[in-house]
Amino acid sequence: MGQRKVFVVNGGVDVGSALARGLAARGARVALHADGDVAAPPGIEVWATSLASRTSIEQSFAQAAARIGAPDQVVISVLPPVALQACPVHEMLLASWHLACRDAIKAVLHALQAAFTQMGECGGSVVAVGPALSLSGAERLVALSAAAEGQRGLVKSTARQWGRRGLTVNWVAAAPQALTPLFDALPLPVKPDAVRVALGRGPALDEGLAGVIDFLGSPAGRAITGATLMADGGEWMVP
Amino acid sequence: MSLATQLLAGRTALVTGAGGGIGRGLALALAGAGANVVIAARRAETGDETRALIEAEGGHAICIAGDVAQRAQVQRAVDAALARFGGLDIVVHNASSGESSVPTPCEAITDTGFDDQYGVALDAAFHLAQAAFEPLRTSGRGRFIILTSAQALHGGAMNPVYATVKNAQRGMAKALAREWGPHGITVNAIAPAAETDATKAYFERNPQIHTQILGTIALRRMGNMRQDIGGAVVALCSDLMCFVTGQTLPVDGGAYTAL
Repeated sequence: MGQRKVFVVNGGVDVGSALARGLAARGARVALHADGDVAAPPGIEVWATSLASRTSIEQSFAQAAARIGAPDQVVISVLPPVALQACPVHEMLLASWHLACRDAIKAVLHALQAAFTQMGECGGSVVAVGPALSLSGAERLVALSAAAEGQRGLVKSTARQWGRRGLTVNWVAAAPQALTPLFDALPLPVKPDAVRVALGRGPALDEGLAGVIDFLGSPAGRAITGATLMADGGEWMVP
Repeated sequence: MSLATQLLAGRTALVTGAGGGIGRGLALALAGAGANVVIAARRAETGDETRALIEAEGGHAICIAGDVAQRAQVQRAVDAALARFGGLDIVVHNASSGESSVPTPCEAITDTGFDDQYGVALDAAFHLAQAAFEPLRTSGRGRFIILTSAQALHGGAMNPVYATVKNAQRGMAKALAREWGPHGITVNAIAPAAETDATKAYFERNPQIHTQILGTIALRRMGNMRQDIGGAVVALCSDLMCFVTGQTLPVDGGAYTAL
C-alpha cells in the first residue's frame, strides 16, 4: 500500500496544524485546508478555504487532490473562537449563538460532503475531532456543547449512510486542553474521583491523537465506524 | 382528586408544537396533572383545538400562534404566560420541522434545508432559554425539557440533519443543566417512541414493518402520546423528580438500551 494521503480540515482555533504535523510524522502525505491563520508545519501545503460553503471546500479539495492525489482520509476540526468565550446563555447574542453553534455544525457538514465527493466511490476514512466536554456539558459553554454534540450526531448518522460504500466516519472526543490552551481559563466540568484522569492528562494532538486518527485510517481501523472514541486520557469513561 | 391531578397544581407550562401530535399529548397530560398550559402552535386553528380539549376536561389553557424559531414570537408566548397565569414554571420544547422525517442522503443536504430544521430545533430552544430564564428562576421549581429523539442516540440514518439537531439539543440540555442548576432549574431531554397519527397511518400501510419495529421494543408497543410520553414529562416536572437534571431519558418502551 502506498503512502496514505490525508486532508486535514481546520475551522477556527488551530487544531489542524498539530494534527497535520503528527500525521505527517507517521508517514502520511498531508494537505491542510484552513479557513484562517494556522501554523503551517514544514513540508505541508496549506490551502486557504472557507468552510461556510460546500463549494469552496470542494474546490480546495480538488486542487489538493490534483497536487498530491485523492485523499484516503479526511480529518475535520471546527472550533470557532466565539464558542470558547464563556457566556451565560441568557446573555448571549443571537449572532454569537449562530457562529458558535449553527455555523460550526454546518462547516463540518460541508467538509463531510466534500469528503464524499472525493471518497464516495472508493471508500476511505473520515474522522472529526472535538472537545470531550460535550459529553458532560459545560456551564456558560452551552453553544459549544450543543455544537460539538451536533457535529457528533452528524458523524453517527453519516456513518450509517456511508458504511456500505466502505466509507467510515468516526468522532474523537479529545481532552479540551489537549486541543487548545484556550480551554485552560474556561469553566470545564470536573469529574469527581480520587483519580480524576486515569493517564494524568489527555493525549497531545501531534502524538496520541494523531496516532488514534492514523489507526482509524489504517486497514485495521477501518473496521470501526460511527464510534465515539474517548481520547481524554480516561477522565469521563462514559457509559 | 388523584395524585396525578395534584402533581402540577398551580404551575404553568409552556409547550411548543402543541397543536397536534406529541405536543398535544404533552399539553393534555400536563393539564391533566393540574398545570395551566400555554400552547405554542404554528397555526392558531390547531392550537385552539388543543385548548378546547383541555378546557373540555376542566383545565386551563391559552393558545399563542407563531413561529418559535423567531425570538419575538417566543417572547410573546412567555409574556402571555406571565400575564394570564402569573408565572411560568415549565417549558417543554417539542416543536420540530416538517422536514425532520424526510429521508435525505447527507450529500444531498442543502444549507436551506439545514437551516430550517436547525431553526425550529435549536434557535427555538435558544429563544426559549433566553425568554424563560427569569420566570423559571423565580419559580423556584423551574423545569426545562427538550424533546430529543432516539435518532440522536443511535445516529439515525434517515435524516442526518434531524440526528444532528436532536443530538445538539442533548448537548444543550446537559450544558444548560450545569448552568442553571445553581438557580434551582432542572434541564432534561426526553427521547420518545410515540405512536403519532403519522406513524399509525404508516404502520397501517406497512403492517410488516410495524411488526418488525414492535419486535425491537422491549414492551412490544409504541408509546401513547398522552399517557406514556406525557406521563414521563409530568413526572419530570413534578417534585418527585426534582433531583434529576442534565439527563437524556429514553421514553421508548425499551427500544434503545445501549446507554
